[in-house]
Amino acid sequence: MTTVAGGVGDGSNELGPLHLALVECHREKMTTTVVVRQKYLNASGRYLYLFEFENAESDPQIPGHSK
Amino acid sequence: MSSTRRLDVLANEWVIFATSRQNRMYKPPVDLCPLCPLSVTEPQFTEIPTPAFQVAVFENRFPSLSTIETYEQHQLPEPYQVSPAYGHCEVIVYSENHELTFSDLTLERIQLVIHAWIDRTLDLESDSRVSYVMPFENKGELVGTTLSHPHGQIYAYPDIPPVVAVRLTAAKEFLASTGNCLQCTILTAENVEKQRMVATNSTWIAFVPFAPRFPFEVHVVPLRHVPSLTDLSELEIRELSQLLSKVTKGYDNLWGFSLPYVMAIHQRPSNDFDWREPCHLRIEFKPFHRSADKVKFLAGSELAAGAFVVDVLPEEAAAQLLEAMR
Repeated sequence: MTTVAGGVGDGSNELGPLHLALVECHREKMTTTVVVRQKYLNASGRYLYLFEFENAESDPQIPGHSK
Repeated sequence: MSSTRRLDVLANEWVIFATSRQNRMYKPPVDLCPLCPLSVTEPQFTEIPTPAFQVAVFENRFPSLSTIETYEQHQLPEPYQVSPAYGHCEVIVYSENHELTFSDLTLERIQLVIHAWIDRTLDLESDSRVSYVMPFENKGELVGTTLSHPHGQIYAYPDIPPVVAVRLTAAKEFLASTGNCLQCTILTAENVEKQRMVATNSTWIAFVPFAPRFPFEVHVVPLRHVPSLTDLSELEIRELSQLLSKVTKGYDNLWGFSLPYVMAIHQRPSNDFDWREPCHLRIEFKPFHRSADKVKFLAGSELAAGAFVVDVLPEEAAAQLLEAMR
């Protein structure tokens, strides 16, 4: 597992207009894939965690549903 | 926002009071959905302000349990007790797509959800004041879901919740009297009888329990004695995704509509290794329907006496589910 510390509130890792600051990033290597977890702090002081597989397929779409 | 607990002394059980939850969003339209990403919903409404995501977890804005402990302590007459409702409440969002349900997820996405459950269990358990972490999902309006976007919740309780405690005590007593794990013994029995089994693979089994509270209840259990999500192997994670997909798809095929249910993960209590031997991981699905157009309501006998009356034999329910999963 690899940990990359981000700078909380320093603006360098902000995402979008709501000032989401990256706190840390974990990469956990499994046998066939890598699970990435990014931890953010939002403007109201609550944590948000984003999980993803590297090179994952996209979500299935419901026919007729457009975003 | 802090919450409090009052002891129901008649049952010796804590009841949580989280009045701030009265103000949470109730079935907002998609452009105001707090679980959609920036590409769909208005920036000021989303809890996940990123253009896209796979699986997201965030601290609930309207938590039932909280790490903020500000409440006025009054002198209470005997036998009343009140305490802060300490704990954590998180929301887990399975997909950025507002229209999906768990049964629509790819196996890969379900595996990522399982990895997120494991990560959050480990993290929340690191709080020494947390005694029990339970991921769960309320699916559908019938069971009180207020947001239709596919999501579940993860609660970290300050003590072992009452329903879990009863089951853990039964498992501990069985171990003490027989020397065997209760759930392992149940798996052996289900493998002998087979008539309630609805799905299986090399590491998991799904079956309607011998004495369910709800007619189409299903338990998904690892064949190996695994106390917690955090003990699962990679193979077990992959194969769990297969069975969770199969069970939820089967539910939707059963009567041709997206079946509401409560799904809950029962695992060993946090930071207490005494529970590793008696506790065996179990994922419980409890749908409220007893037929396509009839719902099992909890009424006099169930709510007042705790004596459940079930309208369908589990062997008949398993046969119907098995057919729906083909």
